[in-house]
Amino acid sequence: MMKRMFQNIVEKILRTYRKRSIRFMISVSFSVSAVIAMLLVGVSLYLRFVAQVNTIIQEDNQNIIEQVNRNLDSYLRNMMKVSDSLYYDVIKNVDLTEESIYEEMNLLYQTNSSAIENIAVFDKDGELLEVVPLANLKPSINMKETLWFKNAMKKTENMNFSTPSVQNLFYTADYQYKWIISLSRTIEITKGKEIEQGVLLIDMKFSGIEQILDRAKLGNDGYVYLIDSDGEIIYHPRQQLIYSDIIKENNLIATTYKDGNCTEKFQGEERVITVKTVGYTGWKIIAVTPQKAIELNYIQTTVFAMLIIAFTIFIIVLLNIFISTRISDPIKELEQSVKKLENGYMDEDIYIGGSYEIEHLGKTIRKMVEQMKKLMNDVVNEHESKRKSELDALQSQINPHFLYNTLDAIVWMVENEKQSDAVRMVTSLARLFRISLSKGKNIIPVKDELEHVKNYLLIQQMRYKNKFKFEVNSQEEVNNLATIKLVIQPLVENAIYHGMEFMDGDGEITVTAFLKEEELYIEVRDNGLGMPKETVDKLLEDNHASKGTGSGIGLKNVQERIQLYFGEQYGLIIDSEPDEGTAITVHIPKRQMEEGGKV
Amino acid sequence: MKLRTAIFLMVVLLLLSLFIISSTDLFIPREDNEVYDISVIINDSDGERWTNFRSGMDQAAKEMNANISFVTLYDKNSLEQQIELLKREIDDGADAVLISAANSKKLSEALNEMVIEIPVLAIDSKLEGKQVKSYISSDNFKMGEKLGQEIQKNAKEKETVLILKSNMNSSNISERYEGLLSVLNNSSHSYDVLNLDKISEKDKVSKILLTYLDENSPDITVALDESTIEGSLNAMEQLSTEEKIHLYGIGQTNRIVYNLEMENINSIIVSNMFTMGYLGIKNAVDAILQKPVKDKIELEFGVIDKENMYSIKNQRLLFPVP
Repeated sequence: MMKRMFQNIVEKILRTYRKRSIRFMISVSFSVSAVIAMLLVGVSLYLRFVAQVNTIIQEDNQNIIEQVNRNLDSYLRNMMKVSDSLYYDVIKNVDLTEESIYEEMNLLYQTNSSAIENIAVFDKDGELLEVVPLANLKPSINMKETLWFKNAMKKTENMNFSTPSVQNLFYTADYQYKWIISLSRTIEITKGKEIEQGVLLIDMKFSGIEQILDRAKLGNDGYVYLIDSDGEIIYHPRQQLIYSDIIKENNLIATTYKDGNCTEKFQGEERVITVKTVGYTGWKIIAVTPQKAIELNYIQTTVFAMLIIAFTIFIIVLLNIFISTRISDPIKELEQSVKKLENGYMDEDIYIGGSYEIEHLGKTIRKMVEQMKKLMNDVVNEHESKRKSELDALQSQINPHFLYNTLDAIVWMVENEKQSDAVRMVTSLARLFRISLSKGKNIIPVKDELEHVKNYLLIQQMRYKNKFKFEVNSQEEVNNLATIKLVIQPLVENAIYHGMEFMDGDGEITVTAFLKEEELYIEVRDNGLGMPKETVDKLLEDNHASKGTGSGIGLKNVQERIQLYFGEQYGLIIDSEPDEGTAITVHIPKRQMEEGGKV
Repeated sequence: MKLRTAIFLMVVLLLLSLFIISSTDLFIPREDNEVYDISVIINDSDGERWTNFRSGMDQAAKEMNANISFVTLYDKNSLEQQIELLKREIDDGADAVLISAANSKKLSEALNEMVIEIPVLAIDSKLEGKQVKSYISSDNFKMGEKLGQEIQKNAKEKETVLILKSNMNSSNISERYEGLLSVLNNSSHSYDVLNLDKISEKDKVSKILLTYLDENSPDITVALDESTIEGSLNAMEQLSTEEKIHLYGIGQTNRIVYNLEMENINSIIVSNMFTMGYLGIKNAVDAILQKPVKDKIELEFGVIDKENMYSIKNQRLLFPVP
């Protein structure tokens, strides 16, 4: 079902796409692909960047914590070493009733005085056995009730680190109150013959730890703090504020974190947390970086990214305009020109411009239009000519002058009782006119055309009182070929009136139809005066219809009609020798008569 | 085409300038790196009672980028000197001032007459005025009450009380006094008042007290501020153990705490001076930035004696982590 819908949508889009103009398609395709590409690149780079930034910060934090851890660790180990060497090298196996351990203790204290407030040894009842530097014990302090004493006694195998507190065992000079971290452990002391338990206490200066942790500088508003295994804060850059309840810290939850990186949400803010556990003590170093500070970094990048996007869009728009100018617009102009052409504005100037291809198209279309125009003109002209020629030929079918004259002759014959001549002439006339009309067809068989001319010759012979002789011959195969009607008679007419005029009975006109090289030739030859070249040329020039003498069609008309029907390679061939004679030949192609009289 | 070219050029220019701006810091909402000059004018000639306050003050200064002038008087309780110093600090370009008033009423009047454009915050003693944005202190009346209750708790019935009445012009002292009386008046203890007026030098106080003690034998002596307590301690050094008086007081210095531990003082009421310093500076910066500031901030206080001074809560109150 979903697939169907999806397919439909795709089809719709493609359809709309196809119907649109080139400009639209180019614009849209280009813009869409550019935007998609840019988004892909941009988004993936941005995501990578974000991931990178987070990774870098986490790594950074981790490095810093590692460093802090190393420093803290070595500091604590140093303290533990002092405790150990004090115990094993100084206190153990020394009979405290006999010997004093003050000197050695003092030495150890002096070498570590920057980190140690005091070192003290107590017996199992909490009695002070020795203290360096020399100090007075405050009265009425019950050692056995103190936390460090109790913890030391509880876990005899371990060294115990306390949470920070104010030193309150010994009097100090100048009313000083110092924050310390107590390192306590159980020891064995030898008192005379007895070996009993005691407690060795080293009060470490809090400032020692403070200095180590203070040095950690995190960027991006981050900070580092230290908690013990129960989550109690040992050091925090804003420690007193937490103690005064001005701010809070997420230390209790942080106890549950494992070493490494994680994120937490505290008081509505996201923070990146890095944790490292300090060896032996179980303390945890916590590095905190607020997410907001990291995001400030993003903002600059985001703004930058937006700018790049805006800039790219701008470039895309520019390119679109450029493409339009070079490609789509020229195509459109060309299309407009062609449209006008379609609507018949033949004189419209075709647009030439744009890229080379479009220019070329334009030029070609122009040439084609020119040719078209020319051809159309030719066709029109041709039609005109044909029409005119046919009009003439039509006209000639019935030439009044020839008719009058012939009828006159017939009347004279009848009046003079030359009946048989009259009959002959009437019959020939009838035949001549029948073929002239040929039921309106333009194309008739050669034998009909010859028959036509024979009858014409008969009539003319009688009228001119046998001034000439004639012959009409044809090859057998040409009789049924096709020809245009009324092509031979004008030639004969011409031969009579130019040739026979001055012949005294010796005139001869021969009409021969024959095939030569598969072309049809009908020759009309006379032995008359002949014509000089100028007259020959003039024959085909004007349409001088010899008035009153025949059909009235000139040779030009014959030539035109032949050429119109059959082409320019056909027509009349005139051959004349003055005083020798003239031969005018009709040259047409060999065409069979088809149904309907069409060629 | 001309218009088109013009638009084109404008857009190019716009983009270029945006590009340049974005690569600088103008675009990024970064925190101001501005430093705020804040002056703190106290009502003492030394800073002994202000040690914890200064710890808090320094912490806030670090966090908020503030530069602090901590100004002491030549003579404690001098109104004139305070006014003069206030003017001087303002002229020196202070962005805000914290004052512990020597004379609450008169200083408020003086403030109203001065043209002050910077925020003023009152610490310890009250101040009135439209430039006074906040009053940060423990409830002095309650502290006085608590002191009275402490005396009641520890003293035997009908024991007599001597109240050392110091500078009542500071509202903190007067309120403590009122609070104390409100309890003592309803108790079985009769009391006498020794008027110290503006005298605060420890030796002078000591002399006055000793003179009084020549004639009188109160069971309990009450001091309402540090200098009076220390003056009393000075006096006590002159006395023999039989003559020792039970001393109760409000205030803290290192010497006072030491003597508390030595049982020369029975109990003290201690205000959270660290918080006063921290919140004082924090609110001053907020006031400078015209952010809303609470007009009254009440600080916690504690009743400290030898037994409880090293409890976790109290050691944090008495000895702020450095």
